[in-house]
This record gives sequence, structure tokens and C-alpha cells, in this order.
Amino acid sequence: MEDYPEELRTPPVSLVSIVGCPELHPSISAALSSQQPPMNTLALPDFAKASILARSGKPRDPLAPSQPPAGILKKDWLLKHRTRVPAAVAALFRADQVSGDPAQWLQACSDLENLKSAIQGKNTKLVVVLVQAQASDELSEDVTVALRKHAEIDSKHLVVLVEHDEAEWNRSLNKLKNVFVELCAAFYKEEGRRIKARIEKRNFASVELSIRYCFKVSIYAEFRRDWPEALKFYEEGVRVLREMIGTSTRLPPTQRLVEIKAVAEQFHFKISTLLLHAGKVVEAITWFRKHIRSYERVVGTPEVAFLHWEWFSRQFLVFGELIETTSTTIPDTLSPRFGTADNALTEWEFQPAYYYQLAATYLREKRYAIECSSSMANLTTEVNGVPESVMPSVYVGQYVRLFEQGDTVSVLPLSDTEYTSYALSEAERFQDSYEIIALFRKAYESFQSLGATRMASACSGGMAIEYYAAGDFSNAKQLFDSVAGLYRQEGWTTLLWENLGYLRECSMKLNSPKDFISYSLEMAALPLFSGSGAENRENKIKSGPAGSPTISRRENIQQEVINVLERKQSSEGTDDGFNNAMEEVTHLDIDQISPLRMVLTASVAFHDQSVKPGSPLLVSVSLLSHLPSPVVVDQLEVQFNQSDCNFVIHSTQEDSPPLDSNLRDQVVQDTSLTLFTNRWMRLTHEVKSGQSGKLECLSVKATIHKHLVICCHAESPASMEDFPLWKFENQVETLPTKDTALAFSGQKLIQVEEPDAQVDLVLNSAGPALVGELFTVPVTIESKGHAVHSGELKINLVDARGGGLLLSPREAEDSESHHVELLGVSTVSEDKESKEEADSIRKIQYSFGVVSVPTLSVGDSWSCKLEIKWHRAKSVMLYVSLGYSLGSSEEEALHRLNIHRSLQIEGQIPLLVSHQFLRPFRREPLLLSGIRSLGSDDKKCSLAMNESNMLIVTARNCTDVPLCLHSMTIQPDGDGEQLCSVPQISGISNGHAVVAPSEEYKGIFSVNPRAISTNFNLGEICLNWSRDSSLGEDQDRLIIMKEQLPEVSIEEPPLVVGMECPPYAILGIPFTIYVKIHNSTSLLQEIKYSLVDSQNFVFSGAHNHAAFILPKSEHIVSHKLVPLGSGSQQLPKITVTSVRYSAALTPSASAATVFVYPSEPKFNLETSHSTSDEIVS
Amino acid sequence: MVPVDVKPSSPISPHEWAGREPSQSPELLRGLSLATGRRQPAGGRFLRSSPVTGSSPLPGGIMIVCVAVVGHQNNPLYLQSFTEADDALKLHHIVHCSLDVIDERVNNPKRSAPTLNETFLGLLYPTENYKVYGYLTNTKVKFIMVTTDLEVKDADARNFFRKFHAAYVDAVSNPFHVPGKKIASRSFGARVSTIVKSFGSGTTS
Amino acid sequence: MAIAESCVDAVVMEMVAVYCGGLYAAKPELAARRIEAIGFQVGHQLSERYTMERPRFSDHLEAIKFICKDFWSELFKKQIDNLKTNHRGTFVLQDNRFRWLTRVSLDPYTENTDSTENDSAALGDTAAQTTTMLLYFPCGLIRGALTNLGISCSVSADMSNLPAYLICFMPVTIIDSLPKSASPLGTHGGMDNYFWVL
Repeated sequence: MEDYPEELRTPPVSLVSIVGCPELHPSISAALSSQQPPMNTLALPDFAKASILARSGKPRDPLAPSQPPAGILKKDWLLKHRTRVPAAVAALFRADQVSGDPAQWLQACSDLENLKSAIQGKNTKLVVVLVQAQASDELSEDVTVALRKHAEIDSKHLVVLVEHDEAEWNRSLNKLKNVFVELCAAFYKEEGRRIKARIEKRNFASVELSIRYCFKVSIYAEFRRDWPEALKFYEEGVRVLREMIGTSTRLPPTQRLVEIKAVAEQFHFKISTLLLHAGKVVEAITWFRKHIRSYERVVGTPEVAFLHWEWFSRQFLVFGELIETTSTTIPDTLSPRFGTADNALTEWEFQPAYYYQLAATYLREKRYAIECSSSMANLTTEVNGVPESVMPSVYVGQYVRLFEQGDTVSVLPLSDTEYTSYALSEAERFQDSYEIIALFRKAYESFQSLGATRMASACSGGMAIEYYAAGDFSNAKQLFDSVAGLYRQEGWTTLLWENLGYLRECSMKLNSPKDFISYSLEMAALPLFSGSGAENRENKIKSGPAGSPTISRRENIQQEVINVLERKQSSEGTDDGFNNAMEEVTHLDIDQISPLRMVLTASVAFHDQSVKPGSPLLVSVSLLSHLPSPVVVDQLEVQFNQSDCNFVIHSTQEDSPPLDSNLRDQVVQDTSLTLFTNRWMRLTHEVKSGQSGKLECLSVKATIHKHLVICCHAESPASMEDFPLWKFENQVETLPTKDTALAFSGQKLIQVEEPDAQVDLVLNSAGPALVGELFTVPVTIESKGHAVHSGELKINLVDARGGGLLLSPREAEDSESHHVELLGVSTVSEDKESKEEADSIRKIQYSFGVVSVPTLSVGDSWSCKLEIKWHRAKSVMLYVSLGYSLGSSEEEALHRLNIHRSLQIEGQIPLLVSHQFLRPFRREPLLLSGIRSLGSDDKKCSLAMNESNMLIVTARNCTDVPLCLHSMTIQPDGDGEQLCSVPQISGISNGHAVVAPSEEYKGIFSVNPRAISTNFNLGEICLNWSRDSSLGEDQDRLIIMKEQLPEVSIEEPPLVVGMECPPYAILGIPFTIYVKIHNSTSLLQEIKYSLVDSQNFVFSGAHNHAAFILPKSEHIVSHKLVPLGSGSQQLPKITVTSVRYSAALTPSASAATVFVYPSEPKFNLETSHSTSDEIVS
Repeated sequence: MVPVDVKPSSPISPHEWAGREPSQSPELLRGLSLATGRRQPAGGRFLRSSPVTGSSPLPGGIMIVCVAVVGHQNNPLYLQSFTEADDALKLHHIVHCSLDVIDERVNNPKRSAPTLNETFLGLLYPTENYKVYGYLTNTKVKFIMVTTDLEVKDADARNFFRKFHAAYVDAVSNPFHVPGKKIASRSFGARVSTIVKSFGSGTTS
Repeated sequence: MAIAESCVDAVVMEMVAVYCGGLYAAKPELAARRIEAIGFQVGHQLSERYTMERPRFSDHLEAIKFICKDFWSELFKKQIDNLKTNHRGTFVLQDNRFRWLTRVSLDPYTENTDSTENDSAALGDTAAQTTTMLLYFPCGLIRGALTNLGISCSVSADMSNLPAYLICFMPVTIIDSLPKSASPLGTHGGMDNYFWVL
């Protein structure tokens, strides 16, 4: 667009001219150009210059026959009208020139005459301007009239400018402006009408003229900003022009086409500019389509085809630039259904990128055309050389040659051949590649920004091809590589084929054989696209240097690779690209994502999941190649992460197997290692599994033709994804291994187990552990077959019911309180070993311990005891694991053996302790708390002060082993001592008492509290027990077990009812019972008591009785009873009721029985008395 | 002077040209014959003087130069060109680029009218000498048709695609065809080429 | 037409019988996968055919509706009786009189005898097993069709009592947890769904 002439690119601006008074010109022209729409000013300092306004050239006499025009458009016509043909001329006179001095007046008149004569014959309007210094100084009326007469203008075209008064000056200048505007409009309208008239009445000699007229009319319309009319006539012009191609005969055909296209270009440019600036995008694009379609086929002779393509690409470029500069957007009114009946346009046509891309494409066509033409022309040019002094003629798109004889210079028309050779020589001077690249790059960038990746990559492909053509191979290679990625990903093999073909050549030119080989191999392995047609020679040009994608071509390419490899050997490596760049061996690395995976894929599967160390295992290696012709593998090297397992397979055709670096590999001979296309080559080999751990196959290296080593990463058949490009092919998929299960589930790695240890680890424990005791678990290690070096014993205690940690959640924070604790490990051994053990590691934590085991030679054994203490009844898993190494050397030490044993141990509570309070015998203290706490349910039992309350403690053996109880005491805590005495009544005699399983032992205590307290702490029961040593176990350690007694409340009873009764009675013999009611309060207490009959006794005295008891005194009621029946008899029931506390007191049933002998018993009464006294006291 | 009324909107086929030329100067004829000599639709730079390919029903008229089936991963499942073989590569490029337009049209958020879900996508874009039409089945398989750069009736295009779709369905319903793989069936190819030959003759007449 | 239908029924029955009885008698789950795979391919191809001449589906619901209405009536000349969804990708298709199960019946003797209930129970669940085997094929059909429509999913079958109910779930929540084996032919669909025929 920039190379268009400026007058064509910008909208025309009307032109006026001012003559005389040069000192005023700058301000006037400035004022005119500043207004809207602007006006250009052609300023002539004095009237002598007026002659240039006269029509240039001789006036044509109307009688001469009008010869047909030599061209369609004159180059300079538009320029002339914008710079030299004013619409109006203003003659400036100073007021003092025209007033007064007659000589000056005459001068002015003559100037005016010249001016009139100059513009005479045209419609150029005349304006007379009088300049006067002040508005005040008055011009005589007759002067102005005289001037007007001379100038033949009407009064409003005579303007008075006032020079020295600002306001006046502006005002009068405005007047002048308006006059000019009106006159310009009139002028251009008249001109337009004049020409239009000719068109309408078709009075023109030739088509050229009609086109020219259309152009002029439009230009005039543009001058007065009448866009629709301009558009109308431009389009008319284009129409006529298009017809001309078929009809005109004026010029030889080539030049005619050139001229027509040049003109058409101008027209089209004008039209699209107008449309786009008017915001009519859709119309503009539709128009562009028309324009293109009407000219795309008009190429002309093949020799000048390049002219057409250059012109054609320029059309796209210019239109793209127009769209870009006017920054068009898709109008919302447009239906979104692009490309269908209700909206013929498509999205890309609104994008400049689209046009740039096509421009680039056509420019490329031009380049090809030039190549063809110049190759054609070379034969002809030496016959008649390029004509010299050829220059563009006055007509748009025409060329002539200057011909000078002596001093007369004449222009001669060119013949087509001359013109062609001239144009060719001109065109050859230019280097198109870089322009093409620039265009493609512009397109690429904006397509990229639009997210149209495929378009973009097509563009960069174009760039790459241009770079390739221009010999910039590194750039080309880079671009091609970027594009190839997309094609690989989407499986467009034909496009990929072309790309790779170029890449191959690039790497050849860049002298990198490795790339060459890998690209060639990829090409050779490409799946063919079924649709691609047969091979023919144009194909060579067409799909790049690769040739057409056919099987034969693929085979050739594979062969070429082989040649490259071989030729290097047969030291005449001059004719291939790589004279010295090739190393001894070319390495290719193929992993899961490499595009070369099609070339060679290795799938490795072990036949089983896990194996013992050192035992043989089968591994099957399968290779697949998609190369068209069979590949002979010289040597196959399979590598594992444990290098001792590596092995190499040589094919026997290989006459001299090159000695392998790694001597530890097994070397195997195989009859033939030949890969046929798309057929798995399956090899099964037996390897010895190395040391324990993971054994994984890393890679398979195939040496092909001695100098190509392809290293494939091994893949497991189970996790092998299908081949990127071949997966779309319609072919049967073969499995890497014969047995299908292996093909679906085979893995390339295998777990090698540890060798099974030959050491015994024995845990034996004696039954359940008892809470509180120090439970020992003997551990014995005896080595049979393995010497134990740097052995280490790990002990771990875990809650058997899961939950791992052996402490209850709420006390988890203080790590002191573990339910089960590993206290220590004691080794039973002579001092030598214990000494060496002293310095060895020995960590013991609550539930974890590590103990080092001394070195044991084969056959001897070592044992220790774990000491574990239970705090709660819990069943625990004890895990003991022995880790050792076979030798002391670090290499052996690296790899250790482990034995694990576990044992579940129950923790049991040995003794279940319960207790029970009893009232004093035959004494009933009234305990108020008992009465009050009826409602409430706190079962804190309350004791009477100064009474001897009974406490019975029961220890029940809930284990299944006999325990012996050594002592049972009650330890009062703190100051419980003096507040309360707890003497033992009956305890353990002769050292200890053996308690058989599920038996009980009872201890009796009497509690005599001496002080009142609501919650008194009696202290804790303290048992001293051990396992029964009579069973021969040497566990005679005493274990102290404590049980907290509950708090009791001690109160003073207000009333105590005592009952005295002889220890026994004799049938028929009366005896007396006394009921003593003691009032320990300082109040008068009223009591009632009643006696209920019983058939075993007769008694005297009242059934019911009431009494008042004085403070601190005692009331005694006595009854005489005669027993009527023998045996243990229930006494009559006595109930004492305290009125104040409204509480009834009755002796307990046990207290109210007496034994009645049928007759006087014979035994000494002392003992019985003594015991009875004892009990009472 | 013959009054000629050629609207640029409807370009002239070479035969029209030949028919229109009155007695003209010989070199004009030469120029024109040369000018029109390379007006084949497939007229890339490589058709120096090759005749119009025989597979077009009426020479110079609309003809299909290429049809393609593109699968889920934008991979070509079937692509057949009906011009000289040497155009195949260019056609591959064109078809591949047209996928961008399809993406643009199908998953463009602002077009959400239900009518836009119809399978026929219309003209994708006009390129050098071709027009590219698209069609997206319910199963996200794309059909692409490349015609010569002449006015194509919507109805014709739809009609073609309908027939083509039927052919495609029959091809993939073959129990031996694995979904997602290229279509190699020969009968499908034959059927497609008959559909292509009959293109435009159905509704234009 | 009726003949054709009964032919199809017979074919389906026979296919199930062959796979369960003959080929994979030992491992029923393998037989189930094979049958499902066959159904998948058939559904894949049928959906290709039945979606001709119709605008593309804009969302999953439309596709499911297509399955329920047109697809089903093309297959069974009746529509799905009930479609439920939890709007989180779970769809429940229900066919009250599923054609391919109408021909299935248990041996009446084993039905109403109560000689030894464990024996009859054994017979009962063999019957249930055969019927569930019959249901793998329609599962495959649905899955194939939906997969071809771009909704990759998994369908499994269960029947409360004859006549069978077909219920599909598509919880979007378990996107990756779908085992690859569930789609033997591979799916290109964006999100994985899960189907369940009851």
C-alpha cells in the first residue's frame, strides 16, 4: 500500500489559488487548510506567474479527428488536479492600488485581464479580493463596481479583507473562505457533470475513454465528498474495464493485460478504501471477492505469469493492510451462521492474517513462475538482449522505451517480447524470499493470537520452506521441527512426510548425520496415508524433497540410511553430505514419547512376579519395528539395573562379534535376529536373578549395520500404549508375547526376594502375664547354617487389638503411663559376652527396644530375656525381629537378612479385690446421713464414730495359676493414722496363704473412727502377692498391689441402740435381753419401741412402750424370754423409733438370733464366753 | 464493437470465452487462449499446461476436488482427492487448516442458538482456488469437502454431505471395521467417488 | 418384522448361552466383559446410524433422551418408561418390560418346590445369573452409543425382579476411578461417567 502514490492514497482536497499580495499568502493558506474540509492553496506571488494556470499543451482544434487514446489513465492527471488546477482563483489587490493613482489602476486592470485569459476556457472561478488597512478607510463605490465589471463577477465574489484589525480580518477571511467553498463545490460539480454527460450520451471514441471518464467523475465526486457517486462510477469503470480484456486491441496482449490490471488495481483500491472507511466491511469483502474472482484466471502467457502472481499477491496484501489499518470488526448485525445461505462470508475473511497468508502464497507462485520463465528465457535472451532505456510511460501501467536520434528524443512502444524480457530482468533483480517470509510471519503471528494453531503452523511451514529455498537451513530446520510436532500429534502423516523430507535435507546440509538418520528412519516408518496418489515426477516438486509417500519410497529411504552407514566405512564418504561429521557409531535413544518409537520398540516381560535370589528366571524380550524392509540386528544388548544380569545376543551371521566392553555379560548366539515389518521378534532368555530387591530391565540396545546403535527404553507389555501414528491404521494388532496373559499383564521389573535366613529365633512365654509382675519372655537365637554378624534384635510391643500405641488416648500426652512397658533385656550369659554387650547398642523405650546380638558362628546360640510389665490388663503383640548380615565385610554388610517372630501375650489382673462394711455387732447407731440421703443416690457409706465398724476385704484369684498372698494390710494415708485406727482382726497366718484359681481370701478389719468427717479417706488396701513358688518357678519376687478404698463419711450417731443377749439359751429356761438406747445428744429424745410376738418365745412385758431419754443418758429396756423351740431362733423383733428423727432402728437379723440348746450343753463356758466377749468388744 | 455484459461476479469458463470471441486479431486469440489455458480450478503453479481432469462432470463447472473424514483426535480417517495426484499435498494442508475453522464454529461460546447445532457447517473458508465445506456429525466426526472456487448452492452441499454421511455410516457399521481407525474399505471409496461425480447434478438441474 | 425380532432375541440368547456356557464357562466375569464389548461395538455403530439427520446434542441430557426415546424405540419399538436423574451426572433409565428378559423364565418346578431351600436357592441364583448375563449386552449397547456421542461412561446391570428394570447412574465424582477394563475399546470422551443398570 505504501508504494501507491500519495495522491491516490489520501482523499482529494480541493485546490484554490491566490495571486498577488504575497505577504498575505501564508496566513490565508494556513486559514484555508485549517478549515474542515481543508483546502489546499496554490499561491502565486504576482500576476506574471498566472500563466501556469493556463492549460498546458496546445489546445486541440475541434475539427481534427480524435485519434484513439494511447492509454486508459494518465499518470499525472490526479496529481495535476490536486496541485495545479485550482477550482477558484482569487486576485488580491491592495485598496490603494486601485484607488487613486490611474497608472496603478491600469496595471491592476491588465493583471486582471491576464488572469482571466489564463483561466479562460475552463470553469475556474474568479474572485477579486481588496485588501485595505483599516475597516474605517472607505472605498469609493465606483471603484468596486469598476473592478467587478472588469472581472465579470457578481458582487458577492468581491471580498474585502481588512488587514490590520484582528476581528475584522477574521470576519472577512471567513467570508473569503465561504466564497471559496461555494465556488469549489460549484466547480467540481460542473466538471463532474461535464464528464458525466459524455458518459451518458456515450460520445466517446473508445472504451478507454469511458473508463477514464468514470475515473474522473469519481475523483470529482470525491473532491466534493460525494462518496456514493464516486463509488458508483468506480464500480462502473471496473465493469467496463473487465470487459475490455476480451475486446480491446490497442496493445499487444501481454502489455494490455498489465495495463488493465494496473488500472483495475487503482480502481479497486479506491473502492475498498471508500467502503472500509464508510464502515461497510461486508460490502468491502464481497467486493474484494468479486475483484479477485474476476482476475484470478487472467494470467496471460506463461512467460509473464510472474507479473500476474505479483499483482495478485499485491491485491491480497493491500486489502489485508486496509482491513488491518481500518481495524474492522465483524458487525453484530451479521448472522453468526458463517458460510451458509444467510451469511456468505467466513470468519477468516475478516482477519488480515488470512490475506497475508494468501499474499505470501501467491508471491511464492510468482517466484516459481519467475524460475520457470527465466529458465525459458535463458534460451531466448542471448538472441535479443534486454532492451535498454525502458521507462514507464505517461499512462498507468504502460512502458515505453526512449529512443534518441541526435537531440530528438522519441518514445517507442515495446513489443511483447521486449517487454517480457525487460519485466523479467526487472523481476529477477528482486529477492522475494524474505518478503514471503515476512508475510508468512505476519500471518503466523496473528493466526497464533487467534488460536488457529493449524493455520499458524501452515504459515510457519511456509516460512520454513522459504528459508530452505533461501539456503538458511538452520532456521528452516527449527521451523520445520516446530510444525512437525503438530502433525505427529494429529496423525497427518502426509504432511509429516513432507516436513520430514525437508528436515532430512536440512540436516544433510547442516552436516549432522545423526539427525539425518533419525529423520530418515522416522520417514521410513511412517504409515502411508491410503488417500495419497500414485507417484509421478511432478510429485517431486510437489511434496518437497521427500518425494511422494509410497512404500517404494519408504524402502528407498531406509536403504539410503544403510548406505550412509556403510559408505562411511568404505572410506569414499565424499559424495554423501557428511564427509567427516560421522562418528564411529551413531547412537539413537528411543524412549516412550520419542517419535522414533515406530522405528524400534522393545517390550520386556518377566515370566513371574517374584523370584528367589540366584535362581534362574525367564525374561522374554520382544522387538517391533515398522520399517518397511527387514532389519538385520547384529547384536542385541539387554541391560538391567543389576548389571550382572545384562546379556548380549549376537546373530550368527555376525562373523566376528565385536568383543563387548562389559565382560560380565553372558553372550548368547542366536541364529538370526531379523525384524520384519510390524511383526514382533520374540526372544526368551534365562537370566540369574541377582541380589534381592528390584530387578528392572532398563533398555535394549540394538546394533544395526555395526554403526547404528539404537537404545530403546524397555516397556512393560502391561503398560504399553499403542503407537502414535500406527494406531489409526487398519491392521491387526499383534501381541508382544505369545501367551496373551503375559502380553496383558507382563512387567519389565521383578521383585527378587531375600534369601531365607538359616537362623532360628525362638520366643517362648509362660502363659498369660499378670498385671504388675515383671513378666519375662525368653528369646533364643540359634544359628543353623548362617553365621550372625552385627546382628541386631528389634523388639516391638503393639496393642493386639490394633491402635498401635500402648497408652490410652487421654493419657497419651504423658508418656509415663504406658499400659504395657518394655522394661529391659537381660542377657543370661557368662561375663565375656555381657562385657562386649556393654559397649554395643542397646536402646529401650516403652514399647520398643533394640539390642545388639553378639557375633555368632555357625551352630552356637544366644538368648536373652525380655522384661515386660503390664500396668493394665491388655493383650499385646510382641514382635521380635533379628536383622543380621552374613559377613563382616562392608559389601556383605550392605545386604542384611531379617527374621521376624511375633507372639501374642495376654495381660491378666491377678487378684480382684472387693470390700464390704458391716455395722458393729448388736449395736445400731442411728446414722442421719442414711436417712437424709434417701433421696440422693450417693452410695458413700457412712460409719459411726467411736464404734468398731467391720471391714471385710475379699481378694479373688482370677488367674488360672495359684497365687500366694503374703500380706494384706490397710495403709491409712497421711493423717488417717490418728483419726482412725484399723486393726486387723483376722489375717494371714503362717507367712502366706495360697489362693487357688477362682478362690477367695477374706481379711477382716475393724474400723474405729475417732473424728467426724464427711469424706474420710481410709487409705488403700495393700496386697503382697507372688506366683505360687511351690510350682517350682523361681518367681518369688513379691509384687505389691494396691487398691484404693472408697471415701467414707464418719458421723456421730445421736442415738445408739445396743442389745444385750446371752450367747445361747436353753429350751424352757428363761433369759433376759436388754435393749440399751443411749442418747449422745444434749437434747431430750423421745423414743417409741415395740416388740412383736414370735411363736418360739413367750415373754413378759409390754408390746409397745414410749420413753423420754435425758441428754447423755441411757435408757434400758429389759425383757425376760422363755424359748419354746430349740435351734437357732429368731428373737422377737424389736423396733425402736426416734420421734425427733422419725427414724426406726431394728437390729439386723444376724444380731437378733440366738441359739437355743435343747438341754444344758457340756463345754467350758470360759472359752465361749471369751470369744463372745471378744466379739462384743 | 460487441456489447458484452459480463458481470465480474460470475467468472467466465474458458468455453464461454472461446464462444464469445468475435473476429479478433490473431495475437489476441493467442494471448487469450494462453490466458485461459491455465484456468483450471486446480491451477496451481504446477499445472503448466495440463488438461482439465477427467473426473469433473462438466469441465470448468463446479467439481469436488477432495473429500475427507476426520476423527475425534483431528486425525484423518479418510482423504481422497479427485484432481491430479500432485495436488494431494496441498489438499491435505487445506483440509487440515479447515479444522481450525470447525473448532472456531463449533465451540464458540457466543453462538448458542439451537439452530447452530445442525450438522452442516457451511463454507469454512475460501482459499486459493478452492472452497472448503464442513460437516460435523453427532458423533464428533468431521467431514470436509473441497470444491473448485465457484458458486456452490447450499442445497447441493447439504445434499452431498447427506449422501456422504450415509456412505460413512454403512462403512463404519461393517463389523470388521474397528471404530476410530482409518477407513480402508474399497466399496466405500467407490461409493464416494460416485457421489462426488453426481455432485451438483442433483439439484442444480 | 416379528420374525426378525424373535430372531434377534434368539441371537442374543444364543450369544449369552455360548459365552457363558461354552467359551468362558469357567470365568463368568470374562464372559461378561466379552458380551459387554460386543454390545459396545453394536451400540457404537447403531448410534452412528440413528443420529444421522439430526442436529448435534448440546448437552448430556439431550443425548440421554435420545437414548431413551429414539434409540430405544429403534431397538425395542418402545421407549424407556422412566428416566430419573440427580442432576449430578446420574441418570436412571427404567424399562418396565424389557424385551430380552420377557422370554426368560425359571423352571416352575424349582420355583414352587420347598423341598430343600438351599437347593432351590441355588437354582434361583443360577437363574439370576443367567438373566444378569443377558443384561450385559444392553449395557454394552448403551455405553457404546453414549461413548460414540462423546460421553464416556460405564454401565452395569442389575435386575430386582422380572420384568427387569434398567437404571443408569452417572456420578461425575468418580472420574479416574473407572478401571480401564470398563471400556475395552477405549473412549475419547472428555469426562468419565458411571452407569449402572438395575
